[in-house]
Amino acid sequence: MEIRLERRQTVSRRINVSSRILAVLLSLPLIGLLFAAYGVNPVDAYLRIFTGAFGSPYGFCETIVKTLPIGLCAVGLTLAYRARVLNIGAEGQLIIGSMAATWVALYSGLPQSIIIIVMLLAGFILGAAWALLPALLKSRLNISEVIVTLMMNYISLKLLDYVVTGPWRGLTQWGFPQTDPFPSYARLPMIVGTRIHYYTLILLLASTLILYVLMKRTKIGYEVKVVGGNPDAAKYAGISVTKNILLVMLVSGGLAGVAGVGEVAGIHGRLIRGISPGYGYTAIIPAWLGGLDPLATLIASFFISGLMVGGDAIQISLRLPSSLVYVFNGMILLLIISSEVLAKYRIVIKIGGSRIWI
Amino acid sequence: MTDNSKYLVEMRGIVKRFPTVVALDNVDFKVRKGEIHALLGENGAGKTTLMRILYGMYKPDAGEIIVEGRRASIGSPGDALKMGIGMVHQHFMLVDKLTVLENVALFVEEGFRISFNGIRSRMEELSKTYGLKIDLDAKIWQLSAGEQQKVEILKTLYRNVKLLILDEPTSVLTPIESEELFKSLRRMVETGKSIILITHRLNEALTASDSITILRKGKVVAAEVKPREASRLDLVNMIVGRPLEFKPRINNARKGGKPVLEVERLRVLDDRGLVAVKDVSFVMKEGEILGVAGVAGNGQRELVEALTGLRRVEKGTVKIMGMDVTNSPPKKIIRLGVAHIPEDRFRYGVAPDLSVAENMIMKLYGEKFSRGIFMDAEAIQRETEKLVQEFEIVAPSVNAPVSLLSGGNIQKLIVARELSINPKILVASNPTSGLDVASTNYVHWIFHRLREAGGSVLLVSEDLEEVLALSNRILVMKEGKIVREFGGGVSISEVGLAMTAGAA
Repeated sequence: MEIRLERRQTVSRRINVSSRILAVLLSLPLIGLLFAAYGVNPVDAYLRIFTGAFGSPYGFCETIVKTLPIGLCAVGLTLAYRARVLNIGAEGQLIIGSMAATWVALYSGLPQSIIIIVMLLAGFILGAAWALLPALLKSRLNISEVIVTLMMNYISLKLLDYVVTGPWRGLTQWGFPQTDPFPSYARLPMIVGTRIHYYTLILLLASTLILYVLMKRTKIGYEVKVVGGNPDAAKYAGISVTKNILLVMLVSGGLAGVAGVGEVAGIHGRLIRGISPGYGYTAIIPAWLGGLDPLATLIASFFISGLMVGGDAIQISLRLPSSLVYVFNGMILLLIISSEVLAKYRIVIKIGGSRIWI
Repeated sequence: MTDNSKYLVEMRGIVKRFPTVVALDNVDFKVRKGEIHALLGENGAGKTTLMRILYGMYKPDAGEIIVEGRRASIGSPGDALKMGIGMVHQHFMLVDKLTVLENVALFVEEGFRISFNGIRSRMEELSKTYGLKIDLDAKIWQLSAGEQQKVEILKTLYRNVKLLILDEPTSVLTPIESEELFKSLRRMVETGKSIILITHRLNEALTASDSITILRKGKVVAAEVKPREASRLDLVNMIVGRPLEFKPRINNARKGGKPVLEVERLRVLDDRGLVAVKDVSFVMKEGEILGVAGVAGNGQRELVEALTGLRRVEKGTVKIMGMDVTNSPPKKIIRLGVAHIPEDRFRYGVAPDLSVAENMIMKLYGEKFSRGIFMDAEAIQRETEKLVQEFEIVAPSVNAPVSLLSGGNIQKLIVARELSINPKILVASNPTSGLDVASTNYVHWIFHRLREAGGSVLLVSEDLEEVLALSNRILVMKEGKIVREFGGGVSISEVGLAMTAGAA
């Protein structure tokens, strides 16, 4: 018997999708081993995760609540990753967006009627601005955006800590590291009976659709693809690499910023320390799981959010450490990256004279 | 049993199928001990596939390989090397940032410890024996393509190969370097080694080889042809299977044609910041093919990149159609009708993970292939299929990634794309490198047609025959300067002399 890899002549959509589903399925028994090590029946754990995330109206709504920030970040990241601009800074861009909205809500003194719009805009603009510096460094001086965006996440975290413990600390908060609550007119309205702030939901769906069309059908999408495929060839074809790097970073940074607005103005109603439990990092997973396709990424975001909500559920009911969910996420990402081999190559198994291939 | 002593390698009944094509169809191929065996054929005829099977990179679907009389199972390049078979690919497998010596060590050392002194003395001996001079302590990126090739050859010689496979070795070499290479190959053959030479250049096969095998569409059409007994025309007929249509001829450019490209006192730096183009001035007129000859690395690349907007101009001016385009962005220059077939097809020419169609529209995506902000999928499909057919590009489909195409077919794609923009000026660097006889002929015919229609071609080529056959005038570049200008009807030796001796 002999096993080897052969390059596929065409990479079909079906293979791309099925290799990713396979990656997710493979992660189940692997994590199952971990559950078993904690003395928990893996099947039981998975059932609880699933019902926790999707099995009740409450769980389902909570999954959507988490899909909002993760989805906004992830969908933006697909555009950047298409251009091979590896923005790891959605977390920081989200935090800066939430700070921008907080300033508008508490200190701008703008009229009530326009304040929400301005908050969303400010979140987008500041999130984008936070992404501008790494974009400029990359396009002008060819400095790795991975390092810069990652480092800027820590800067934004420290900035957040500073404002919530210092100048913006709420007078009514008994010394907790958080701001005063936003006035009601600066809160995002919610679908009744849930925590789903629907302005953000609409923005998520709209930006997914726009980016989907942008990538598939427009000149901009084509330019981004060529820049991602070979920047030198892009230059040769008269496509501005600088312009496209700036564009994708501004859009992905802006959308992450909007996600931050959703968190402060939708969920918490104030700026708190640790406003994001790593949504910006988590979002990297659905972006790849969705194969950098915005629609698929939206669905993947929903799935990953479900895992997080379900993970919370088993944490309480089975007394498992919450970090198991992050192990789960990491495992999925590793397997997706490995599964790209499957998408590009096929496995040929030769037994005697017969050839089986996958 | 056959006479084992005669043949070093025999491949019998080799079949290789790829999902959409039969690449090799029952191929027999034999190489004698101590000969240079040329393997000829069009792009996609199966030459490289056959050699990759011999080198253990592909497994044949049927057939057997006999090395020195014994049936061999070659599962990997490692196996091949153990049996004394080495291959130098078209694209070198070297680590840029390491020295020559370190690269050799990577290839030959298997244990934990590396004995650099041992490698050094062995390498010095090898390079002396075969006349392959190289600075062992130079970093790979500092070397020219020709020198890198020497490193690749020395690497395989270090492994004591009996058979060396060279895939289009002269495509990266200057005429002088090619001559040196053949001298070295001759020395190797004299010491009993065998060499397989994949090539598109018929003269090489005729003058440098001992035996020729020709493949066409995956089948052997002639085996062990003796070069003494064949003419160039015989070879062309066997390779292509039909006579070639176009015979290049120079008709003199219309006198007093308008100048379309005016270059004045141009100064351009290379990647290391040294002056590569030194105050070059020339004029190209409407309806002429202007050849630029020169040994590679004498500023041609930098000149071409400066003219097409890819490299900064330090001093001087470039005018196209009378408009000053010095340091204009590439887009502006493209819009003026300037097409560019780049020297390094993988660096600039294509985005390998993108599809054939997406690569084909790279120059006109903003005009012909879009409506408003949207791309016109139907027009893209239609036009790409048309060009694929016209230029006989072998591709699984127009939606397949370009990385699946052979080097020759990628070159055809680039040529097709650049000509599809109906250029007024075509800047072509080694436009036919890696192309087979028929495609080369086709490209030459198109250049000719472009000239007839009033277009102009700046033909920068290391292939002197090509430059001489097509150009109305020839500029010779040496050390960043234009040292001579020739009219039509000049002899190859005159130009060759100017390239090397270079009376400035």
